[in-house]
Amino acid sequence: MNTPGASSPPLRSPEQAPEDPVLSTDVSESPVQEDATPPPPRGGARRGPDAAMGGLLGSLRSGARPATEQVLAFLTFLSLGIGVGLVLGWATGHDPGVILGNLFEGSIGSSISLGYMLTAAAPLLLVAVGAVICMRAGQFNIGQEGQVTLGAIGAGFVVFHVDASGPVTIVLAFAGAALAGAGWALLAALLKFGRGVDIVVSSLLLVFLAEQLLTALISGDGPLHDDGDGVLGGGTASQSPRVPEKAMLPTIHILGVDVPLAFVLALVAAVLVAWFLASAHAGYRLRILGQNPAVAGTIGISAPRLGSLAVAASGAFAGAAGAAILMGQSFQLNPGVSSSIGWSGLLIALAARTNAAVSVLLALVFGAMVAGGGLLGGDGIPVDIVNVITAAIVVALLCPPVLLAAVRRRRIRRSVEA
Amino acid sequence: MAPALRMAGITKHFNGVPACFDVDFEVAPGEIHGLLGQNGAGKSTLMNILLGLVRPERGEVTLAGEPAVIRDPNVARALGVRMVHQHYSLIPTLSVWENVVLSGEGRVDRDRTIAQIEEVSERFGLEVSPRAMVGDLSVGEQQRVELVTCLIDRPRLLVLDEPTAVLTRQESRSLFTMLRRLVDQDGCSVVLISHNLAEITAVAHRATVMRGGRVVSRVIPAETPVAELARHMIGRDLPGTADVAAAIGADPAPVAAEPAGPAPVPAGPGDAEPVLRIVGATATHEGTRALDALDLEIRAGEIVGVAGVEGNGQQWLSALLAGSLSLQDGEVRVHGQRVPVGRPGSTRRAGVGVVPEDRKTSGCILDMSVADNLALAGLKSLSRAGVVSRRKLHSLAERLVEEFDIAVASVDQPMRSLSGGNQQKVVLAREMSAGPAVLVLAQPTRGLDVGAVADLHERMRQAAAAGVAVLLISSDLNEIMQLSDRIAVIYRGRIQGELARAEADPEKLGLLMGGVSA
Repeated sequence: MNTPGASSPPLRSPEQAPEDPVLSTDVSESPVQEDATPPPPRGGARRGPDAAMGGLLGSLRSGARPATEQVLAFLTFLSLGIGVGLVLGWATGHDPGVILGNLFEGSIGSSISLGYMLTAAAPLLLVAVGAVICMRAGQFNIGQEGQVTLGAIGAGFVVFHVDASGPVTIVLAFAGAALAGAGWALLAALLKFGRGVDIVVSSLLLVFLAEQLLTALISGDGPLHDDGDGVLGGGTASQSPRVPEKAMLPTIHILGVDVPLAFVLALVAAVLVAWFLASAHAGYRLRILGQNPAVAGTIGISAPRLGSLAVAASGAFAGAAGAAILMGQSFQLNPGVSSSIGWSGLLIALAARTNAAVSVLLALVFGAMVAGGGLLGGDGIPVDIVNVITAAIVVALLCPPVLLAAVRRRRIRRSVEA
Repeated sequence: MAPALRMAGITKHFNGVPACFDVDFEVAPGEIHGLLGQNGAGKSTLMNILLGLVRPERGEVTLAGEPAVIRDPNVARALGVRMVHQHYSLIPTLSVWENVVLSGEGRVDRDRTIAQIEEVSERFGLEVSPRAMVGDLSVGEQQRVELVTCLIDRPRLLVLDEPTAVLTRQESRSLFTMLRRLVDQDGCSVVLISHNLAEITAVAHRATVMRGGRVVSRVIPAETPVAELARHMIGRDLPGTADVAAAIGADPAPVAAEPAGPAPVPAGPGDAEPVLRIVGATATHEGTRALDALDLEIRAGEIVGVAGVEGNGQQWLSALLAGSLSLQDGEVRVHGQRVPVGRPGSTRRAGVGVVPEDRKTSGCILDMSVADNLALAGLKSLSRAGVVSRRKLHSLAERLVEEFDIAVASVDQPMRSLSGGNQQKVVLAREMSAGPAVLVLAQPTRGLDVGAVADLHERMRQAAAAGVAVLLISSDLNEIMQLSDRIAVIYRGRIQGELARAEADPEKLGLLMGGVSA
C-alpha cells in the first residue's frame, strides 16, 4: 500500500534520512491513511530522548554544527577506527605496536615521511572536493576513477606533446586534465538529463571505458605510447614515456617540510569550495538543488543546467587529480595509473558527509595510510592490513549516524503505535 | 439468503479521530453496491478493514453468513474478497502474465497462467494480451490486468476503488458492462467506491452514503434524485455566509455586501481585467490526464476557491502555477502576459506565489535554516557580486519572523525542527513577502491547529484586500465557503462549474463535485 514510485534516490547519506524528529507523530504518511483523517496537533514537546538523539545526529550532520565539534567527533571516530583495525591486525597475528609504529613512522615520523603523506593526500583531496560539489548538488556522480584517468590522459597529451617551459607546461597540463575530466563527467550528465540514464550507472560504466581508452592510447601506435628510445626491450609495454623533469611538480619548503605543490593546490581548492558552498549565491543554488529539486524548480533553478555544471565541476577536480598523479607521483602513464584514487577520493567525500573541511582531515588520514603502509612490508606485515585499518576507519566514521538514525526510527515507530 | 457481506458496528480511530464510527454496511449477493462519500468520509478505511489492511477496534465482519476474521489481505483473498485499488500495484517492467503470477500462489507456470488469463478475458470481454509488457499498456488496459488478476481467483466479492477516475468515457462504459456480466453470470457482488453520482445512479443497485466516518443514508440510486444524493454526500451543515462571518468574528457588513458588488476590494469582480487567466489548460502526466481544458480567471482582490473531491487535478493546477507542469494545450497569462509554464521559475518571475500542498517536500528545505528558507526566493537581491550577504539575509529573516509571528528560537534553527504550523507560516511569509500578483494556496490549513488556521485565513483576506488575486485550492468545503468570493469546482482536470458564494449550496456543490453540471 505504499505509494508506488516513492523511491529514494540512491546513495543517500544517513543525514539526509527523511525522518522528522519533531513531527514524528504525523500520521499523514502512515500507509493506511488514504482516507485522510486530519493529522493530530503538532509541535509541542521538543525535549526528551528523541530530541537528544536528534541533536547528537545533528552534530554529525554536515554544516549543522560548528567546525570544532565536527573535528572532535571526527577524531573520536578516527581513533576508534584505528583501534578496531589494530585489533583485527592483532587477531591475525601481527603486533599492533609494530603496525602503529610503522604507520606513524611512514607518515608523520619525519619531514620526508610528511612529504610522502602530503603527496599521497593531494590527489585524494582533489577528488574528494569535486565529489563534495556534485553530491551537494544531489548529483550522484561516482565515476571519479574514470575522470581521474581522463585527467591523467589530458595531462599526458600536454606533457608529452606540448613544447613549453616547465611552469607553462604544468599550468597547461592541469587545465587539460580538468577539461578532460569535466568532459568525461559531462557525458554522464548529458545521458542523465538528455536520456534519463541514472548517473550512478552511467558514470560508473564510464570508468571502464576510460580504462580502455587509456590502454589504447598508451599501447602500440597510440599517441602516448612509449617508443622506448632504443632501450633494450623498450617500446613493447603499454606505457607512456617518463614525464620530463621540467614537468615534475615542484615542492614548496614550509617549516622544514617539502610540501608538494599539488597538496597546496588541493588545500586551496578545498577552502574555496567550502566557502563557495556556504556563501556564494551559486553555492546556495547548488545546495538548494541538492536538498530539494522540487523547490529548486519553483525558484527558477534549472536542474539540467546546474546539475550538469556540478557534475562537470566534480569531473574537473578529479581530472586535476589525474594531473597531480602523473606529474607528482607516477611520472608515467600506465594502465593502472589512477590506482583507485578516484574510488578512495569518493569514499573520503562520502565518509566526510560531503563536508569539504572534514574531507581535508580524512584525505590526510588516507594519505598517511598510503605513506605509512609502505613501511609495513619491511617488518613482514602484509600491506593489506592498511586497507583493513582504512576500512575500519570509514566504518567507524559512518556507523554512528546510521545506528543513531536506526534507533531513532524505531523510537518514532513505537511512539506512533502507542 | 444471507447477505454476501455484512459489516456491523465497525469502529476505527486514527490518533483519536474517528475514521469509521459504528458503521453498518451490507452487500447483497449478486449486486453492485455503490459506496459514496467525500474524502475523509471513511470509505477507504472501511474497505481497508474488509481487506485486512487495517484492524478495526470494534465490529464484526460476516461473509455469506459466516463470521470472518480478516487479519491480512491473504486471508481476504482466501475468503474470496479482492480489491482493485485506485493506484495499481503492477510492475511495469514485467509482462502481463508475470504480473498475474506475482499475485498468486504456488509454482510459476507460464502456459497455465496464460491460458487462465485468456479464459477470463474471453468470458468477461476484457481484452488483455498476456505477453504484453505492462509498462507499454494504457491506464485502461492496466486496469483490465488488475481486474483479470482478481477474477482469475473467482472472487465472490470484488471491491473497486474509484475505477473510472482515470478512464475515458468509452472505457468506463465497457467496465460497467463487464461488471454487470460479473454479477449476473457469476453471482459475484461488487462494491463500487465512487464520488461520481451519475455513475452510481446508472450502475449501482443500492448505495450507501458515508460522511465523517458514519453511514448517513442507504438508498436505491435509480429511485433517488441525484440532487438528494449530493446533499447526503456533502451534508447540510455548510456554513452560510452570515454564519461564517459571525463564527470567525469578522465584520459581517462587507461580507454580506459582497454579492451586491464592490465591497472592500479595489477592483470589483467583473469589470477588471483578470490578473490570472488560465485558458484551456490541458496536460497529461505519465500517460494519465492531469488537466483537461481547464479555464480559470482571477481578478485582483478576489479570493477564488477551487473545490472538488481530491485527486481531480488539484495538485496539477497547483503544479501548473508553480511552474513545474508543462501544458500540451492552452496557456497561462498573468496581467495579460503569457507565461512559459513548465520552465523552472517561470511563474514566479511572472508574479505568482505558491504555497504548495505538501510544504515539506515542495515548499521548503527541511535541512536548511529558517532564515535560508525565508530568503530562498530572493537570494539574488540579497547578494552582491555573487556572494550572499549573511547580514541582509538575517535582517530579512528577522523581519519576516516578526511580521508573520513565526515561533522560532533563532532564525538559524533548522526548518526541520519547526512545527507544521510554523513551517507553513515560513512558506507563506516567503511567498507573500515577494509581493506576488497572484497567491496560490493549496490545502493550506491541512494539519494546522485552530489558531493557526484563523491566523492564516486572516492573512489571506488581508492579501486579497491589498489587491492580490488569491487562489485557494482546498478539499475543505467549510474553508472554501468561508473565504471565497467565487467557487470553482474541479472535476477530472477541468472546471465543472463556478458559483458565486451567495448561490453556493450543498446540493449545487455536490452535483458539480460529482461531475454533474448544475
